[in-house]
Amino acid sequence: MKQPLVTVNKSVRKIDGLSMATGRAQYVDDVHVRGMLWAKLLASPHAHAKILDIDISQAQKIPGVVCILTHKDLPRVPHTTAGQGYPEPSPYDSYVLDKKVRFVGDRVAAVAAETRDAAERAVRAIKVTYEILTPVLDAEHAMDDDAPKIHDEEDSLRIADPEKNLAAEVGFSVGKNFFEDSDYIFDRTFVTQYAQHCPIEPHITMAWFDEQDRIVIRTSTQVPFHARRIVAQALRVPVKRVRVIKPRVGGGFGAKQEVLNEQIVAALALATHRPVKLEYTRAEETISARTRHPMIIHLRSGLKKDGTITDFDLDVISNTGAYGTHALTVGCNTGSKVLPLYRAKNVKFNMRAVYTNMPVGGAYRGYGATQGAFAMECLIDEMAERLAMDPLEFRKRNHIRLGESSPVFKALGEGREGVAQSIESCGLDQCIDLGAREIGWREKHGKPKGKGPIKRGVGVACLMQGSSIPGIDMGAATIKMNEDGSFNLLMGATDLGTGSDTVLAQIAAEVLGIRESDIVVYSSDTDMTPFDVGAYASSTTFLSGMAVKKAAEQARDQILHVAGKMLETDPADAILQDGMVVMANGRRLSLKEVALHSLYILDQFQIMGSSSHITHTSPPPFAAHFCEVEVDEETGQVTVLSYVAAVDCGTAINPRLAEGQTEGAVLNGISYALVEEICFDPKGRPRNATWQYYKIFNTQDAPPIKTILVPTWEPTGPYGAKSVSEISINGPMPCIANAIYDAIGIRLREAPFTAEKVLKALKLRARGRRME
Amino acid sequence: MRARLAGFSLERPGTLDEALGMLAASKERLTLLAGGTDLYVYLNAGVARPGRWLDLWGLDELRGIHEVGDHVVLGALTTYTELRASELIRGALPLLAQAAATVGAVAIQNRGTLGGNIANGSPAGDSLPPLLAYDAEIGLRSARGRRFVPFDRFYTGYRASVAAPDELIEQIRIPLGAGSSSRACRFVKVGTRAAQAISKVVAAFVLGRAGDGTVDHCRAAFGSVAPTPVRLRRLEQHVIGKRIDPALIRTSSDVLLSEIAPIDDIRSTARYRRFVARTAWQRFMEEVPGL
Ligand SMILES: Cc1cc2nc3c(=O)[nH]c(=O)nc-3n(C[C@H](O)[C@H](O)[C@H](O)COP(=O)(O)OP(=O)(O)OC[C@H]3O[C@@H](n4cnc5c(N)ncnc54)[C@H](O)[C@@H]3O)c2cc1C
Repeated sequence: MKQPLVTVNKSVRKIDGLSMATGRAQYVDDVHVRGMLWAKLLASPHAHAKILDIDISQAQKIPGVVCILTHKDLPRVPHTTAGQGYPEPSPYDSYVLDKKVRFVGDRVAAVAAETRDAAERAVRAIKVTYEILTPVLDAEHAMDDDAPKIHDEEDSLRIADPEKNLAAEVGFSVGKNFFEDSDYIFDRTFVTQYAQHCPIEPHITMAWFDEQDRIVIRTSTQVPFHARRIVAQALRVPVKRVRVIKPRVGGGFGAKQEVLNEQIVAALALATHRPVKLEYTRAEETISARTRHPMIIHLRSGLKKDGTITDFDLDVISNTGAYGTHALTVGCNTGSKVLPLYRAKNVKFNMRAVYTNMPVGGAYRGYGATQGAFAMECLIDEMAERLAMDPLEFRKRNHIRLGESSPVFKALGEGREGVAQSIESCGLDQCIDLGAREIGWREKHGKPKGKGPIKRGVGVACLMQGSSIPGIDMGAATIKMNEDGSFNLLMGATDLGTGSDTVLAQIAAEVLGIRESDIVVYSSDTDMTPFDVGAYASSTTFLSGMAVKKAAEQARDQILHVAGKMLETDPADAILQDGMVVMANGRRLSLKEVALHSLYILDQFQIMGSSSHITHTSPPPFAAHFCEVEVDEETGQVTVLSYVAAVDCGTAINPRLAEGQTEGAVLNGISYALVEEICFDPKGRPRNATWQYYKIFNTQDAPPIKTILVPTWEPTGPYGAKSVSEISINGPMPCIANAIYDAIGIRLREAPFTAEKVLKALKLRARGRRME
Repeated sequence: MRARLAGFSLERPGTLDEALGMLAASKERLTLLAGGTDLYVYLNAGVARPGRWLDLWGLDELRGIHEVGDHVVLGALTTYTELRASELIRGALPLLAQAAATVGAVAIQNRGTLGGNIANGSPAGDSLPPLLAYDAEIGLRSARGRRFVPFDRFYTGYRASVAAPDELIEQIRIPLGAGSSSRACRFVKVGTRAAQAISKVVAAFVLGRAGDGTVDHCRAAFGSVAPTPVRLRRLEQHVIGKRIDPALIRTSSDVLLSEIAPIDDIRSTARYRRFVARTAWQRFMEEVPGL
């Protein structure tokens, strides 16, 4: 039911904003535990090698070195580092330490020492004898018969086909007589690159023993509960002996949906019985942590002259690097978050995630949809052009609408079959109209623009994502009342800088008729807060928000019950407003009076709600992105002049934070589209693993970004909300590619669109013209 | 930090003479520390030379921007922020102010110095092409005395210079007329992003014409196209005495390409650098006022 909203849909101040701005927010590294050791990992210099021998005798002699662990010291437990629900859809192909290294940066040994200097020196003093193997550095040839086998160990589990370096494979086909009804067939290949999340705070983990001899892990994570479970699994300790605390997190973008270092740090703490800390350097973050899966995307489509799309055939080769963490599910999303956007009677999808001896792909904001949307939105543009139809008109004619479903929803889920659903909220047409007006589409698109060698163009991309994983993800929350009418909100949901603590407090405050500042939020701690799968799959607002709403409603009902007794009034039509209970007859009580009564006066009990939520749908947010670019034909430089993101996220619980998510995602996406790329030497070593060479765009590179929030009402979400966090990273690459085409008539299908690459394309065309 | 600090010592001379005395007396080569924006990066990466470091930062004798006779004299410790703020520089030597504005970001500009940029000798140093284009001279100082070296003869190879181990850079001297407003000039920096990016190509041009329209003064200086920042003397000679027209722009561009030797590296490719170097020059020529 729609109701006037008081706290929700208001841009209240981020509840942790002041402490962050004044430096008081407590991140992992802001506590020091007495006697803490520094950990350092020895990283493999080789892309593919067997470890024949590890000699630690010299390293052990370095003063201050306390412990050195190698694969000989740890239980060999196949597991996945993917922070996913149990049973994880990723193969169990990782070991805390192994006898083999599979990429440059793979871990060989771990040292704990009294000082960082000693730890670093010890790492350098470890002598490893390797048998160097031929590396696989090309995803397309990873499946060749004569390609070296990367996972030739016998104990790994659920690898699709280790003989073929195939980590995961998935596909489906609906419809029949493919391409028989189409007047035109399009057949294009798109290539995307390696990129890194670059969170300001790198991976950092501490572990120590508490007075009950339990391992306490304080870590920068998006998935505290999965971290607890996977650490227990990998080290063979009971879950009850592990506690994971997530303090403030300095950004994750998916990098921390990974149980990357918690195992090894806990192992060092176990071995030394001392507190241990491990923090990655920026280079380690780039080389050894996770990346965005590079993909080769082959998309074919069929089109009728009347503008109907008849077929899609999407074939994806995803490079998952040395380990298959998120390999299956990221690849699934390349289809499932992209194909349903446009109607077609025949849809085919196939995805193969291949192992290479390169950095490990993982969860990265957009989660495969980013790569898929690049292919889809560029091809849609080409299809519209073939029909001489306005790309906006063409999209409007073909995109999924309110009440419609797509067979893709059922056919493809998260590593398994999906869940049938139909669209219950969709503001895409309005997004297209408002965005087009803002960018000046009608005046600019398809018209020659710019003077001399500087050409201008506009582009568009339409997008969808999901909200949570249906039938799998669960979030829970507990809320309890204090004497002054304030509340503690305890959640497993994981704020990693996104503002979810604020958004979820707003939801509780809305239910309870108080201000969000009257809610004390605590997230998340596996000892103290109820379970939540964590911050991923665009789920927190939608899923955890619903759990918070339900918990708050329980507390509200208890409050009304107590107030009814206190006032001897039937609380049936009472409301909570401004910290008061207001009865239908106008009588009022403050929440403070209710709290004191319930805790001290009569029939004492704790007013408290606790609830869980799962979802059976994953309502897509929709967006239409527009940009105007300038392309310098003499230098190849592409400059984004302005960017418009019109987004339907249902109800924006906090519009300013929703805008912030959108702007951040757009800038991240522009940077990915134009310059970001990890480059390798012929032996598979990254050449630009520090920020001196790996350049991400910052505020000075940001064009004016205009976010337009288009309100719709999603009936399955809290106060009509859907997700907003991931969708907008998918836009810039296709949007800019389409704008470049509008400017200079060249379609770029290989990202990033660096000046060097654009210039090369221009020269190739010029040469081609000369030859004609 | 990769460097082991135990291997380093830092000394703070109170006066320039004291510093020169220490340089003269030392048998080992001392490392001079100015703003530290290059040296600290080396220290962090573990490639800084251990041993004695001399901190120049407190030496006021090495500061200041002054007009002395018909020269502008800049102390070696002049920071980019000071260059940007100086009325004298903005008016008389605008390319230096423009270059300063593109270096790193504000924090680096507050700390980084002209002397450090010169002594560091990176072929991509952003202040170096303007200094070449303005006929700067480097004032080297030691206990033995002072000497001036024309900047285009300062470097002897990749990150190598004529400065002796006991010499430091005291000042930079530029003729006042070098940036005369009657001359056309331009600073061009091509990088991957707006701030904190080392140049793929950097260039500074100055061009003057006689009353009859022929070119009577030309400086074309580039960074990131050779092992050191370079002045393209053949290019300059080629345009002197001629009128600017499409033919000259074409022929001079060919000369330019024959005179640079950029390389492939992680920031860009040799081909791309050649191309944008030429484009920068062509655009400058096409847009010289009054054409
Ligand atoms: C984040 C970042 C961004 C940067 N961006 C840019 C950029 O965009 N463009 C650019 O050109 N540079 C850039 N730099 C490099 C650096 O800032 C400049 O080269 C700067 O001018 C160095 O000056 P400094 O005073 O800090 O030198 P220092 O680091 O103190 O010294 C550099 C070298 O010069 C020597 N030296 C210093 N002063 C003297 C002297 N008076 N006599 C003799 N030798 C001396 C030192 O011994 C040392 O070898 C960047 C650096 C960083 C860290």
